[in-house]
Amino acid sequence: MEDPGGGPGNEQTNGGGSGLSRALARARAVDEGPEGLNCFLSLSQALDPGGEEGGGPLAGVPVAVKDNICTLELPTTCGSRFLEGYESPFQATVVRKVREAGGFVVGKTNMDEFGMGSSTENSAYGPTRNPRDPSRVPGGSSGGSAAAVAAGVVPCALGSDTGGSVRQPAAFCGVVGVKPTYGRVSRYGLVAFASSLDQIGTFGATVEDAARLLEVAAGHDPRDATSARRSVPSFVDALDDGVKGKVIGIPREYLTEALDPGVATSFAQARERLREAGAILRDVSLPHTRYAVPTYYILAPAEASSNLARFDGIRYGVRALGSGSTREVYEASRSQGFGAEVVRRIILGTFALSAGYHDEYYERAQKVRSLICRDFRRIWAEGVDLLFTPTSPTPAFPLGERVRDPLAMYLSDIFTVTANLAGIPAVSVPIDPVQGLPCGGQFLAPPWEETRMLAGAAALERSYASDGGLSHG
Amino acid sequence: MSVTKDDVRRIADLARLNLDPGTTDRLAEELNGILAHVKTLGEVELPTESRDAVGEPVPGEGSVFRDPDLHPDGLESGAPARGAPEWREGFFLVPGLPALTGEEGRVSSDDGEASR
Repeated sequence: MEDPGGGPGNEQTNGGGSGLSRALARARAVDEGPEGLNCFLSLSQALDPGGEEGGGPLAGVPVAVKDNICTLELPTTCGSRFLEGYESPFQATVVRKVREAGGFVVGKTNMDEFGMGSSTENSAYGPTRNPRDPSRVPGGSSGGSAAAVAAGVVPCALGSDTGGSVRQPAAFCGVVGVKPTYGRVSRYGLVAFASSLDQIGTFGATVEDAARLLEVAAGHDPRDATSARRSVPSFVDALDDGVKGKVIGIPREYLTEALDPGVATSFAQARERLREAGAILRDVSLPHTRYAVPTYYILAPAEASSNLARFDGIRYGVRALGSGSTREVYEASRSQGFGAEVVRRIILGTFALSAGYHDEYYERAQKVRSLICRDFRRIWAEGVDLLFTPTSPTPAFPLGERVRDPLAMYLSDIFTVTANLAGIPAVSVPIDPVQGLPCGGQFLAPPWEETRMLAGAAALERSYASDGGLSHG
Repeated sequence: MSVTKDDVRRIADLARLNLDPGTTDRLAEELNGILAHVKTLGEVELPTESRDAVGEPVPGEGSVFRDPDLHPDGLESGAPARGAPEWREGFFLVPGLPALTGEEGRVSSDDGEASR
């Protein structure tokens, strides 16, 4: 792994201490002051690493964890006032696995409340800034994890991806972000947003960093009925496989007029690099792509409206004071605890599920979802090994630009929601920056083909590295 | 169709949310904007065998169930007390239920952890 030290803040370590103390010093330095990045909501108080001593694939590696993944030692707030100071009585399986592999949790990272957002501006604890340009958003909802990797606090981090919440911030911050196949990683201890779409994913400073953390996190867990009973191949060992002879489809529906011209140019150059690396490029069509965002913004809020019913002020979180009946406690606690975007999505989701609208919205969206799945299955059956697309139609946008326009914010997810709807794996890897701002290319693969997908991402990363690497900002 | 303020109030009631009038107005307007975009789903020609076309989220995996003997960690040990607003002797405290008490109950605050 790349040494996360270096840069401003390193002087605070006085050159001594463990990887944990170096990472903690760096975390404090990047978050300090009103112009700080605000990556972390809580930091480890441990004086020693705390992970299992000895070997292990993550021996001594500091890892940042999104604040919707439950930890015993640190609060789990989901970026919400509702869970301010909440201490989980149990630990997420992925956190246990990181510790058993020798890694340690540096801190919990900022996020859009309950994962609902594409900019980390919906956090109740203030937005995270993009380390490459602090006037811009880091993307979201896992913006704190992406920024912590980009700022050099940690070499890798855990996030969650329901509609692009790992890949889009990875693209905006110039790091690697992986959303594995639905069922690849246990979600025990992940606070649910939309259960048919949520998947824990990994960030890395490099493809190898993200692949190594994924290899540790992946695998069946009897505590999560949706985790698959499948063996986990070595993702790291597969990184040398390259793309020679692989058929890489370029879906034309992703090259729309919504695509920023700079991103389009950067993407075209990345495509040529893949050709030079030996890939066979093929123009393909996924005709239902344009329906992915409307499908997602019915199904995800519908599931969220059900999942978030548990936040009632009775079992955990904040109970509104001065309430009377049980029902009044529910209403007052929920109304005071949830932020504007969460309320918007609960209302939208409850509407889509309500009598009289269920068939027109929810059931129709489920059927369109199955057509989106079929588009992908047809492409794989035609002999396409991987798909390659831009990760986001634009680079990182300025803080505040889309806060008052929910639809514009939702359209940030136009290239990423399809992988969640179809349950397939996807990875964002840095490509040429646009006017100094990071930009991402996305590989999508058939279910369970993370090895092939990560080999593609590594091949592209190596192509840039052989030309001196990418320089962001 | 368009969503009215009354619709938003009805939905908020179902979702156990109190909305102030300004929020209700704003949400009605935003919902209409979002639903106008969602309307494009009406263009999609659905397969005729559409009853089987509902949801295929887990590639290659059938439905599976967790071992019923496998309990979540820590929930027997009183650990929820750390996170619960009010908790006593292994129970979550709730306000009285009118059906049981014959009147609107009040939140008990004489015992257990204070509301946070």
